[in-house]
Amino acid sequence: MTVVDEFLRRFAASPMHVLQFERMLGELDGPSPEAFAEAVIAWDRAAQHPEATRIALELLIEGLQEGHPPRLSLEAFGQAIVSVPANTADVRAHLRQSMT
Amino acid sequence: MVPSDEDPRPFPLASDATRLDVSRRTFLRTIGATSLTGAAAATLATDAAAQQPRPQPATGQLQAPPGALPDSAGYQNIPREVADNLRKRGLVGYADRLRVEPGQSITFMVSSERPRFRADIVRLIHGDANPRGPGIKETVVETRANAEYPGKHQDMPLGSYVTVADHAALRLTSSFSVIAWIAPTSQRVGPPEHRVGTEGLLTKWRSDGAKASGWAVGIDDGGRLALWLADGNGRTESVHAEVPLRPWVPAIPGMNQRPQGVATAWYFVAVTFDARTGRVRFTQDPLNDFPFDHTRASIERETPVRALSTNDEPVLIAAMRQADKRPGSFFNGKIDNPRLYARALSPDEIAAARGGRTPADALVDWDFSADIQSDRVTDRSPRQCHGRTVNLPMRAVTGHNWDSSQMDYTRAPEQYGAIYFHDDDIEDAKWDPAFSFAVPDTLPSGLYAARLRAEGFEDYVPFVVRPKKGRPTNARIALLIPTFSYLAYAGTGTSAFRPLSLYSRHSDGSGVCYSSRLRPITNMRPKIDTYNPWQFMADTHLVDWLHVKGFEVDFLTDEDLHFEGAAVFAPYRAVMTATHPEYYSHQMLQGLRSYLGNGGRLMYMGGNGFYWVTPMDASGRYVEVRRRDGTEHWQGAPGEHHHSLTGEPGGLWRFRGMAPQQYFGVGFTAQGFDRNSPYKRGPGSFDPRASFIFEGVGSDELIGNHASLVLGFGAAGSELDRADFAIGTPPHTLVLASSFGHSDAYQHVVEQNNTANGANPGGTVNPLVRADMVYLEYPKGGAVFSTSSIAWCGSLSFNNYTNNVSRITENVLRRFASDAPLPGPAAPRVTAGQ
Repeated sequence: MTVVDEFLRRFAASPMHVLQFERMLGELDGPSPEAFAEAVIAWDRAAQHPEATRIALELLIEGLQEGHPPRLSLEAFGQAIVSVPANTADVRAHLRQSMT
Repeated sequence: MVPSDEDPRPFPLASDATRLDVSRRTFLRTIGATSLTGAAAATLATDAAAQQPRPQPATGQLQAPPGALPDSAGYQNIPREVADNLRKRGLVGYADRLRVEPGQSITFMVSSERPRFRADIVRLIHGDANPRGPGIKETVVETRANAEYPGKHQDMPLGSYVTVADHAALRLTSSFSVIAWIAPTSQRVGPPEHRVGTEGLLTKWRSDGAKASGWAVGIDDGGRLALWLADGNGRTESVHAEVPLRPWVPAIPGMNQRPQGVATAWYFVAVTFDARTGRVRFTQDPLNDFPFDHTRASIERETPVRALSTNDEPVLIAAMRQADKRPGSFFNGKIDNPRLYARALSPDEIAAARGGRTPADALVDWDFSADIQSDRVTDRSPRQCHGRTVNLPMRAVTGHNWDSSQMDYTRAPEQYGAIYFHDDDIEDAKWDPAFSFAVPDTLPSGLYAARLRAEGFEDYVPFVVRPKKGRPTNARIALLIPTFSYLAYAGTGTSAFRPLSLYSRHSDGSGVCYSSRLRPITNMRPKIDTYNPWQFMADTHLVDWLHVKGFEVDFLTDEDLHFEGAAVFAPYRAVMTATHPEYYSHQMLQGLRSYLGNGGRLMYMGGNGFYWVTPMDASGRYVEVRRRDGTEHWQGAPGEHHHSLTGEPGGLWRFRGMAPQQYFGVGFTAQGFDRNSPYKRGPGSFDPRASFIFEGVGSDELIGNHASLVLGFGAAGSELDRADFAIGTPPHTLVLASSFGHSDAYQHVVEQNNTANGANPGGTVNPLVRADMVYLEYPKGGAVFSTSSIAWCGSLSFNNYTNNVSRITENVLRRFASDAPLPGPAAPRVTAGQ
């Protein structure tokens, strides 16, 4: 069991997401997939909202697929995840705001 | 808002706020330019645990296997993860049943982080909040259950074990011995918060603050055999072996998790306590005969204990009673034939037992090879200290003496004398009930939910109201809600489809084979924020379409078909599946076949259906899957492919001779994850037999070439089925249309490839990567229409339900639900002399 396995297990809402996440990890041009996965898992543990990390990753993939990925640092990506309040109704909107 | 036909963008799209004018490479460089470690540490200032230095293995402790597994990945603390996520949700519940009928009552269990919550019963029509679709549609049902209730937090009692009721013979006061075969699977690597602690093997223990009683044999947090004794004054004495048991290696380091067998490292273990001397002897002997195995060891320890205090606790196997009086310290791994003696066995006797010549005077002798298809645990001793399994540990697993001569436990049960326990097994969360809903006699059949709301939190607990048995119905159509498949994908914690589903691995890396409905299933929900709705929420696309089109429909579940067979469909002219009816029992398949053979008409509205062999327990609480040789997320271990519930071989129905192609014309052929594709009409669509299907559809019109609520665009996508006459598609089947243009993100499924080097699996090169829409007739007026795509129903609502996916679906359903006979194949022409 690897940290990438755990990443896929934690955040995929369907088997399709597993494949998308695998591709996304393979396209990272900086941190290794293992390092990225480990950081995201840590952010998820620290997050207040149980869906924040998964939705942030969906936004990342949407941006990549459209050719319009959000411009943000890794710190900002992690901060966006952990800053979503526990009782936020529209997590996606909150993340969009903080990921810009 | 609905995109136009020309809109090539996937939806949901990011808002303008996030659609920045930068290239993908810019983004990648941006995140790569930052020191990840520094970023993570800075962001995680609140996660103190993550900042602790990682511990080094203690002297004498075995290192992780070669391959440098990341520290955090050695053991996945599923119980902690589930508890954390359920607490973060704030409000979560489950029901005591998935389907109910008028006149019955359904009870809801709720965990709330708020002191009060409100519940309302709602009818669910459309559960997908995607702004590109019709949005959430629900109607409050006025009932007496709609009210405020007191809320309280409730824990998930994960972890399996055996419990044996207290018995005078088990209240040991003096010398005793425990022997067993064990195969521990916990991995003791990684930071402390992710590591397994103490694990109970055979325990009769009570510890209430300062005072303890009883005895417990287990594994300590260093991975060593250990014994806990409570003396006559209630003081605890613990001793342990010197050499840790070998850590289990669940996968090849660096290898993707999916293609994997499971190897187990068996040990014969013995722990003896001699009350006369206070000496304890630990013996651990690996089953393998390899030389130089330094985990083969025997050591003697001394204690001051000369007498034991007793208690009336049950004996727990694979767990240990905690100070909070609940079972805990769950063992991960297999246990085979644990035995207890009321004396200290000699080293010679232990050696004899290792060789199979067990002393005959066992106090208790639990034989797990008996009653495998149940929760019963049998004691072969005259005392008959029988037990029960709790939380579905895995049965029908190979024991220490399995010799590979039999793959079927029913043919050699004596080689299947093990039970595989996991600290994240669950059958019944057993939460306290919060409220009940007495279903009015007049409530229409449909999809419903208990909508729970508390300050800042919301949850839905869905259920199906089926028509009342024996009461005539006006509906000519039944929608079969795939509850078996919901259970297979049932995750607990977030809207991810893991952990605790049949796609999950346990904490130790082995596959999960049982899935119960008696727990919060947090991905079986409406309002999940995702661009790829899956199972329950995707099925509401069809529920909504039926509602908008005004069809009168009765809702049934897989359980209804499983337990009642074809009779449950007797009132209906047409039956529709949902989007992904993947998990089927033999009874369900036979029921559908019988319905079709007697003139029934089926609309298979999805993809990858009728795929995995899936029995359900007799009480209807849980399903079981033994994965092998399919497109799968884990592979079962050798010799463990037969279902514990029924003894039948597991795997794919096609390898049981019941390929879905035989009955429904199509079967699983490919899956992918980027943009879906449209269908192009084929010659079959112009056959007069199929003319009613394409009324109002142009001859050169692409089908489903528009936006979708599933993966953004196109009606053919996600998982695809195809006609295959070699596998069993009936020869008269009409292939009406086929999808095209799939990318290499779509791959031909592995079960159709016998060699890796000749597969050409990608959609750009493999013509078998496509969805075939098919139609075939059955005798007595029956028929099947198959869409062959999970994504089909995501296209129904496009353009205010005016599109060719909607049109074709409506054409077929209106005809299928009518009494008008279907055209049927022409009689075969026979020419004299040929």
